[in-house]
Amino acid sequence: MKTCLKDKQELVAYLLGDLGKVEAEAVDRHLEECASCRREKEFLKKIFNGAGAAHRHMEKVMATVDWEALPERVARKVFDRPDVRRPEKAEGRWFPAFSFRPAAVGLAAGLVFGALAMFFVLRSGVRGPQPPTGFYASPEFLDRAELELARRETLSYLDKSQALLLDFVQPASADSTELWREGFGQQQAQALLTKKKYINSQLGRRQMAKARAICDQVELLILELTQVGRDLTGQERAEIRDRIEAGQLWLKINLVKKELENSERESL
Amino acid sequence: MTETALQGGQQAAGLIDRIRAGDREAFKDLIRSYQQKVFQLAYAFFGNREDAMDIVQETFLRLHQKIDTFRSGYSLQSWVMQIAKNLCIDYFRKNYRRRKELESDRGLDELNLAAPENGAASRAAELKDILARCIHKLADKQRMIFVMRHYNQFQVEEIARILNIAPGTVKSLHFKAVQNLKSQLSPYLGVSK
Repeated sequence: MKTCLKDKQELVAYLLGDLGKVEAEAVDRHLEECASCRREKEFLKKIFNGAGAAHRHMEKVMATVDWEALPERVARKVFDRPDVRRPEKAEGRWFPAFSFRPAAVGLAAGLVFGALAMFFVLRSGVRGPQPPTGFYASPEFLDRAELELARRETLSYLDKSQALLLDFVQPASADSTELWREGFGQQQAQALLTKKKYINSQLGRRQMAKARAICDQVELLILELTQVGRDLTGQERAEIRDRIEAGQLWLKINLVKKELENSERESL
Repeated sequence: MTETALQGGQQAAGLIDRIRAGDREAFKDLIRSYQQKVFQLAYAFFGNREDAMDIVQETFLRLHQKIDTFRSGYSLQSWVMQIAKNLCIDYFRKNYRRRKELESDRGLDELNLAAPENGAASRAAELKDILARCIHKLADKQRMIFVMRHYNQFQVEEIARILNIAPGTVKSLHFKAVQNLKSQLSPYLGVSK
């Protein structure tokens, strides 16, 4: 006994003749017994008949078409149509789009101006943030550097002065006396006086006050030496030496030198 | 009817080769062979002669553009119908969607199918119109399969080849189409669901 065919594909296949002989006979037997499936079959037949009627109507419509002419019409479109994609050339015009296409003109002008702008930009080089070309240093750094230079200049001045004084106050050897006679000592003294003038501005600093006092004393001494001249007697020489010793100038110079050297090391 | 569908792969392959070589007559022969099948599909799809004619012409123009993509050994009829089917679906989506929406607002009652004063022929004609409208409401594949089965009278295997799906799927989708049509038509055919 076959189960009910309603809502089953089998009944549709039966009506469309898609079932084999054995299956179709089984459906026949079921339909004889099942009223519901018979109703369903009638309903489906109405739908398929409607489709059949539509098909017949379509055939009437098809009879109105000239099937002999259609292939030629389509073939003409394929083989005989001009190539519409090929742009027409306007005679006597260099660029026909200019004459009637404002958008094309605008686009072309934009391209030209853009290309020119890019050319000039590239030629002049792309300017990014430039590194500072001049020497730059912070005020604090410059201050420290200046002080350092002042120290070194002062140390140099004191060294040379010490050497000159030492040369002068030591018991006169034949060489040193000869040097003074030839004016070499005088020249050195003059150079030291010039140097003192140069470092005076630097000695004005607060940190260099002590050094300035010693340098001033040394300057006076050297000035005196240049004035007494080359024919200094032993007596005069001894007086100068006594003044150096009495004022402990030697010791003071050494102390100031030591202090300048220490402060230089600390600042490093 | 002048249509004689090409039989055999060799004959089809020879025809395609001649068309590729620029043979105008070969191209016209191919059109003669399939133009009515394409028309049937398109007419059933749209219910409109002019749209169907547009689809026929466009199908063969498209076929000529794609002639180099035809694979030898493949059914020429299936290939032609595939192109036609794709064009139908595209055309339907572009031009009939709005119409479909408008029609869904209109009741089928307006067709007055069960009017007693009409004769049997008139009722059959109206059933055809209602059916056409109900077919338009089906999903694309269901509509295509129903049309191919009942208007083109293609067998399940041929439909499966054209749509590139399994025959079982064709049967299943056809059954769904019938069920949907039954559901839409039952109030007008006097049969309970």
